[in-house]
Amino acid sequence: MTTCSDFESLIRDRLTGDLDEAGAARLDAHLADCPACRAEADALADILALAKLPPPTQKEIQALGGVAESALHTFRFGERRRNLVRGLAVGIAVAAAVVVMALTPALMRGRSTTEPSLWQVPDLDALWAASSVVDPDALTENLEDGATETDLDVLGSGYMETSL
Amino acid sequence: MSDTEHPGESHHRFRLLKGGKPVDEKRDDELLRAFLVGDEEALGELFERHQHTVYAIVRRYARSADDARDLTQRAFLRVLEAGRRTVGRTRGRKVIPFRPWLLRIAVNLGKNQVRDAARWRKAPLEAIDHAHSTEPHPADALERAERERMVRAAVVRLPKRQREVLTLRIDAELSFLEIASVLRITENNAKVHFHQAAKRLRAMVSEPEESAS
Repeated sequence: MTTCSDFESLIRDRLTGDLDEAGAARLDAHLADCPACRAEADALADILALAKLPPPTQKEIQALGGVAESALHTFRFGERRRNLVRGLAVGIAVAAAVVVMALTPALMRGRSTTEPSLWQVPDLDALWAASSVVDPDALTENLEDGATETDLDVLGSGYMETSL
Repeated sequence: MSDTEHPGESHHRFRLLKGGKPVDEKRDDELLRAFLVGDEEALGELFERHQHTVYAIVRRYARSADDARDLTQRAFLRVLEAGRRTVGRTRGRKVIPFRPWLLRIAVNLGKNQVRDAARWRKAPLEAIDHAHSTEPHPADALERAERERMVRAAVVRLPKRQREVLTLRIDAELSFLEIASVLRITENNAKVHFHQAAKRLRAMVSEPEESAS
């Protein structure tokens, strides 16, 4: 024997539009005899009908008529702006490239005039004089003048503190 | 009216709630492609096919009719932008599935609109009630209007997913398959949420009545 709880799923299926013809016939037959189930089914249907928003007013429908045109205008405006920005970016990049290409030879020329064109032989005497390397000739002279070996130790090897 | 007087009426009401018209998605894709290569009439047709569904979705979330109109336009603009980018990236080989994207964007725009819970309480019930309040109300119509107000306020308090499924079904009249696609859930899940929403709404609305009696 079927009970009211067996028809709950049929009521749910009807709400979601899933009830086939055989199920619908069974449910309708039960609803005709069962006030409780009918009340439940009616209450659910009623609550959904109440929850539904009322249809749009004439004013709303009229206002909606202009949306397509307005959206088209906004979309095209966006496209034009994007193209403009893209065009500007390309223009700036091209202009920058032209400027760089135009200035590069001049910059290169200016740079070459400041650099030495020929190898200059360094002044070795001046470099030698600027260093603190001990002059071996002067050392020999000191020995001849009676300097001791200790003096030589103090003088060291002579290959220190070279500033070269 | 007693329940035994019109036993067939409940069946009739059920039929009214059936929604979900089939939509030719291929035609949408063709129209989108046509618009993106410069055919402005194609956009007009896309609007004609979908603007009322989008409007029905966002209306529930909007604060006013102007707000709903603005949200409708924004939903279309976003999907057109997405279409333009996709076509550009794939050199015209691919185009986005227009309607699922459009409806998903509409739902997301609506949700963003009411992220602040306080806004939900104000929208859109007052605006719509005012829009319909110019006609004189006989007593029973006043009573019905009061019940509608209570039920719509209860819709706002439903859990998010149940509310989304319910409103997509009863306002936009989408099929459960389409609702599932928009919300990225299964069709069966959408049906379960819908049924739970209806039962919960009934409980929420009957509670004060029962406690009063």
